[in-house]
Amino acid sequence: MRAVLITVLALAGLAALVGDAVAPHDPAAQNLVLGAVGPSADHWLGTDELGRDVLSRLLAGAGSALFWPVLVAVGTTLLSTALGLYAGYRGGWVDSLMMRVADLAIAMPGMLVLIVLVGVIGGGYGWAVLAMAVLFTPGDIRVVRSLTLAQRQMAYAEAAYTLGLRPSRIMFRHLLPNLAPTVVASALLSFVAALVSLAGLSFLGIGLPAGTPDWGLMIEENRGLLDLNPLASIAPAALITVVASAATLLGDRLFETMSEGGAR
Amino acid sequence: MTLLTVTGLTITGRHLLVDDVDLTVAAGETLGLVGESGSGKSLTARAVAGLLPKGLTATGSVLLGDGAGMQLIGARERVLRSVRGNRISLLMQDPFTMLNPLRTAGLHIAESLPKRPRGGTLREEVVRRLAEVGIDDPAVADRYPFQLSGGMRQRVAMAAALAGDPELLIADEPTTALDATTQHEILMLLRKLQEARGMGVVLITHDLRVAFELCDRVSVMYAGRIVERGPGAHVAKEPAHPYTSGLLAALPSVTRTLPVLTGIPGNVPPAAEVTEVCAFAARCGQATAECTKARPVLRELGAGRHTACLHEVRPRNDHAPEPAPAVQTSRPFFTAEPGEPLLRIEDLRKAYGTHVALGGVALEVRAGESVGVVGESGSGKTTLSRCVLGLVTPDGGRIELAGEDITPRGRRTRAARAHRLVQCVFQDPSTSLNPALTVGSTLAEAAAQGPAEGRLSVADLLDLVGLPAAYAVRKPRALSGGERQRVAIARALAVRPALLICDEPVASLDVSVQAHVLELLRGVSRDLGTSLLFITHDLAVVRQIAERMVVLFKGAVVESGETAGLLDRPRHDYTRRLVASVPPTP
Repeated sequence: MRAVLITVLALAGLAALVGDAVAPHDPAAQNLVLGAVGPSADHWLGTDELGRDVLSRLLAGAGSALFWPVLVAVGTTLLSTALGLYAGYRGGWVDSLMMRVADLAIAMPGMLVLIVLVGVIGGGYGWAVLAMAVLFTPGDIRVVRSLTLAQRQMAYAEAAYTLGLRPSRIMFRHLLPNLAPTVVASALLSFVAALVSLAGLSFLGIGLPAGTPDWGLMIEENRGLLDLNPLASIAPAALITVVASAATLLGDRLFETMSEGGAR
Repeated sequence: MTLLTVTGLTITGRHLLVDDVDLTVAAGETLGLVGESGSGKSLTARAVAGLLPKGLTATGSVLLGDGAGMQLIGARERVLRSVRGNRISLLMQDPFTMLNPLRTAGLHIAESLPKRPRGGTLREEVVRRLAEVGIDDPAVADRYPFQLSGGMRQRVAMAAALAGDPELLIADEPTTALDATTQHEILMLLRKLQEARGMGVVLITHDLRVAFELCDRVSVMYAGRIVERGPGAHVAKEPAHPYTSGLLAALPSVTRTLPVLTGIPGNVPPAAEVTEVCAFAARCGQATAECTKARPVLRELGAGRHTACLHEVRPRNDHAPEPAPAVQTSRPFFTAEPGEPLLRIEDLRKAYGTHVALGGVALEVRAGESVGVVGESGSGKTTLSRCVLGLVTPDGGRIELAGEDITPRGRRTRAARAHRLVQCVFQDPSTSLNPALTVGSTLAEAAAQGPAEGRLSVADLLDLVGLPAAYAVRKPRALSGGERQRVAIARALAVRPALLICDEPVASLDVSVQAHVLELLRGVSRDLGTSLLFITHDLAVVRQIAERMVVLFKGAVVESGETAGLLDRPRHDYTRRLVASVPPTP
């Protein structure tokens, strides 16, 4: 099962890297005479209203569909792990202050803030990604912090303190490896949340200019073609679902193996 | 009348866990199932009640009742449900998780009562049941578990287990989580109830002293099988299997200080690896070629005695035990003039809200001396050690170590040199080592915290605690409990401290392993000159290791003095009660 999940994600990653190069057609080339038609030998997934090859557009869009969520996941994970560890280990007023700020951020309706922010500022995914990382971080900080609190009371952590080790060493060398299973699993969940949210934003027409090959945007643009070429909107939707599910399940499995493997 | 007949019970999961176990329990009889962790005693009991964890299967026969009886192996869940609580009841170890925190004590009992109470209201019946387990205050019925002490909870749990008037009670380590004095009361209560009701009891315990004190017959389990059985008193006096004899030899005694504590070498093998040989042969001093040719059957010795050993067991005191190897190193350890005061604690106070953990404790440890701190849970003994380690900030008082004031002031602040003076061995071997680091990196890191001059290498440290150097590359999960505790001791010794605090270092270990670790700590004190502050609830353990001891009760020292004298002639009431609650060592 894990091999299947990794293969799915690896294929998606490969498409993101070399999708442009292997696309059978120019993703932007229009063929208005042809219009929207179903699958054929030339166009495996058919064409959209403007006669553009759906498969080529999916491949070309893989890069942006995956790159930004990965950026969000990496940013969120680094930020939340560092802050959560610090808050949990240090405790006291630093912890209280960070938790109140986190409460505030969690109380904000995230998607709405994104829509307003990106709608007003414009300028593509850049801001949306930054805002998303900021919005996702507080929840993850809480998770890391509560795990740190639990680990800090373990005898090995107290022994490290008793040995007079520096706080940074206790945090990163002793506590962090024991949080790793959760950190990795939550990084994959952040990736999934960002993937789906960004697709949602493009579906709403926010973020990217019309005509960009993007999975979310393709669902929106082609949803009128369900009778002529249903694959034009179903294929990108299916891709998002498959990649998101694979990442979620892989996170689950990684958590289990890593927990068994050493740290509990 | 036979209540329960177990024949050929075999439990398999991914591997073989319990191998061909036979048991019988008669009405009015207490059967002790004794063994160390991993011997399969709890699984056996669970299989009898049809409560095996998912993934494990039992084969063989479990017959309930006299004559033809009722076959419980392979019985439908509906049948088992009608048996549980009404004919077989279980009493578990942990009184903290056994009761539902959202339901009152009375509800727990009421829901297991037979449908129609014999005369009187339900309430009266609940009060009567509480009185049966020695709770005379009817108000307890309306209390929630968190409002009750551990002993009270165990009594309520017992009343609930007995509410369905079962013929057979399976008690799985019912007193292990309780304090010594409470433990004694609960055991006496169990015996009283068993006699009054004429009930059969299966008592599962790792504590031989408890088994011999309470049980009519004892079955000793090892690596998933029964190696010896017989009347409790006989087995205690003349063990007929080297394993039993080894366990008895490893038992520390509260009445005398043993010159050498002898554990059993090696570890318990998995049941699956020893199916065709004597399971104990690899660790046995008397093993011959015969022992590994075929599996010895339980042979009868007469008078209900059976043993799975081919040989006559040598009497325990026949051969003088070899002295333990010296704990040696060429590197200098902290030295002070023996007898000089090393640790001086004055008027130490700490309160958590309204609960006073330490109410002005004074204590002195001299260089090279080992001092025991004895008390039950809530006595403040752990708070005391945590104050010295700088993990807890006391409200008042003064801690002086080697002439330096190391009293922690403020959150997690600590005198800069304190970590080179005092180190600690913690209780729980499963959390005391970082699971993500290898033994070698744990020890190397610790050694680097000590003075640079004469630093011990990882190999030196492992050698010091009697572990092979190859263990350096292992992760903690590949070690047994005793081995982990040795590594924890090596880590504490790595900085060559003047004082080693041991906070219940053997409380979670099996008896045979406990002896090894205690002997190692004695060596540390004797050969390295390190002072020990030994915290424990176990009087037999403190007798073996400490020259002087103090008794803590509710945050105050109630008695102190030389260990032997104090335990032989306790003066304070509380100390007397403590001493009286220790089951006699066979």
